[in-house]
Amino acid sequence: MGRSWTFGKKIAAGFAAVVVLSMIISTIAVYALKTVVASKDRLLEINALNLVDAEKLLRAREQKGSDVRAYLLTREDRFLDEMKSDRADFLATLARMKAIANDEEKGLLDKVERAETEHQGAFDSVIALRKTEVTLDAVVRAFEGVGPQRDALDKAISSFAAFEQRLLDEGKKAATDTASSAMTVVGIVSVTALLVAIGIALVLTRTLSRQVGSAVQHVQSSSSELQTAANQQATGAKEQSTAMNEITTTISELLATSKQIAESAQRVAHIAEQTASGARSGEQTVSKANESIGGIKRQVDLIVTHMLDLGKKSQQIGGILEIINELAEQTNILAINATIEAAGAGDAGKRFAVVADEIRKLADRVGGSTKEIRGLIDEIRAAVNTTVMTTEGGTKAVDAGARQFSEVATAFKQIASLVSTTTEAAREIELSTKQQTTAVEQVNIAVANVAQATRETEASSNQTFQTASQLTGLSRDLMRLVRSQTNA
Amino acid sequence: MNEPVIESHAAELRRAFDLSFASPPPGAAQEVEDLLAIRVAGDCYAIRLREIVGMIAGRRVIPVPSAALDLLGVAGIRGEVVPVFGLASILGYGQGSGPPRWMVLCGTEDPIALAFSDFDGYLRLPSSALHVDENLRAAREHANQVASAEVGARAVINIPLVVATIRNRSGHNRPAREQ
Repeated sequence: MGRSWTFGKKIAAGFAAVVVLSMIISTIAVYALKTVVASKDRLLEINALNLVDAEKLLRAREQKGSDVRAYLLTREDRFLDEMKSDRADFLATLARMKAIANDEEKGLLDKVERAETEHQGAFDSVIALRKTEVTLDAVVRAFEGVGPQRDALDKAISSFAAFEQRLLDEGKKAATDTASSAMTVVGIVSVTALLVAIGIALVLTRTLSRQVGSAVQHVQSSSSELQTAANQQATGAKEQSTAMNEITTTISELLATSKQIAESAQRVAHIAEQTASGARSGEQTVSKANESIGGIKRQVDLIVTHMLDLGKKSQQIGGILEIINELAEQTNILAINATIEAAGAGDAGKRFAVVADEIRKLADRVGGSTKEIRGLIDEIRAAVNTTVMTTEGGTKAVDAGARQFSEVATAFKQIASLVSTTTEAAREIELSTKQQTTAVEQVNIAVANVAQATRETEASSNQTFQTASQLTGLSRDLMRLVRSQTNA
Repeated sequence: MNEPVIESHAAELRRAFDLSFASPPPGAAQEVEDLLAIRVAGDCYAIRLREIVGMIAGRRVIPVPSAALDLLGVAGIRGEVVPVFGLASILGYGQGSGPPRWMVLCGTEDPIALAFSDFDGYLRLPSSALHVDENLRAAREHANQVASAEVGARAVINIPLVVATIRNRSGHNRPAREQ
């Protein structure tokens, strides 16, 4: 029996085998019954009927003899009619018997028919005698002379009856034998079927017990695993439920934050619009300041030109002062030489020496003054140079300032453009944040649903755990049952 | 310099100038010495005014070939060709880097000029301000006295000694005229 067969197939195969055996037994029993019935039918329909008909023939012969005797006694024709009627019944019965008789029976019936013919001939002779005016005694003797024909007829009928009785006995015995044989065969086949059924039952029991035991072990193992998995699933579902609660809280905070962001983005957009207005105002202010710086630059250029002129004039003053200094130096030398000459002139030169000395002093002082003036001019030139350099630096600073103002104006334009972009971005952020808020709310609902599903999963896991526990118990009980059957 | 300071300075100058004409000539009670404050190779020296016959500035010196190392050249002074000697070289400082701007004329006959680089001014000191310093004499052959002025002490160059040295070196010859 294949391992791949299911229990239904195996049980169906066992039942099929038992049914086949039962059908064989039934077929044999039916065949035996049919045989017995056929034998009995033949006995009842042919042999027994023939026996009855033989009795009828005897009775008709007796009736015909009675009619003949009555006629002989009474000479009434009605007895002859009754005799003819009885003879007709006799012949009709005989004809019916011949119709269903076999060859041997037909032979016996032919003998009966010939004997009856002879017997009737004898009767006819007696009757004919009676119709004559013979005495009754002669008729009685003649009638008594019919005895051999009558005995021959009775003998023929008895032979037929004995033959039929023998056939009936033989048929009865044959039917009994057939029935006995059928009973024996049915008994043997029934015992064989019983043994086969017991064998199939044992094989099925062992196979099913083994497979059911293995399956039950698998079921028990699977139940344990399912129990563990359900336990883990319950734990996971609980953790997931906790996480879902945290997620819900976080999403709620996120929702609040998104709303705050949307409000902030709205404020940013408002402030950005104000900033754009300020940037445009700043750009105009910077343009005006740039124009003012242009005026300052022109004034500074004029100052530089004047300072350069002042430097040139100072340089010219320095040149003139150089001449004065040189004149003072020459005067000093001249005074010194005059002093020397006055000293060489003796007393006459003393007064001239005084004058020369004064001239020398005056020249010294002029020289000192020229030095002071040179220092002042140097200071003036240094101041001019410093002023020019400072002014040039101021010019450069003004240029740089003008450029920076241009850059500031450009920057203000860029700021205005960027602020416009920022405004749009803030509005987009606001819109996106509102959409995000809606999405977060949907997510929150979805998370709540998931949390509910998780709780249901947890409950389902607990139910699964309980079911797995029950299944484990059931498989354990089933295993005990299977092992007990196996052991039994 | 502030404007009031300049005005006061001018007033002082004017007063001093007027005072010089208002005061009587100085008497001979106090002996004074007129000096020219110069610098040779950065050192401060003084020259007695009475030892020279003139002072010249910015005169062009024409170099001439000579065996005398101190001779810078000749210059035209007061219608004469005068030999010009470097005072720094004579005092032992060696030749200067450039031609000296100042020169003093020494000697009435066969005058020679002594050139130097810097002229600081005119000094009139009492004779008592001049004194002999032996250490200076040992260090500088042609400076025998020290003049102590308010601005500092200066070695006084003995011009006649310098002139005599030049003349001795040149063997009483007049190099410029020989040339």
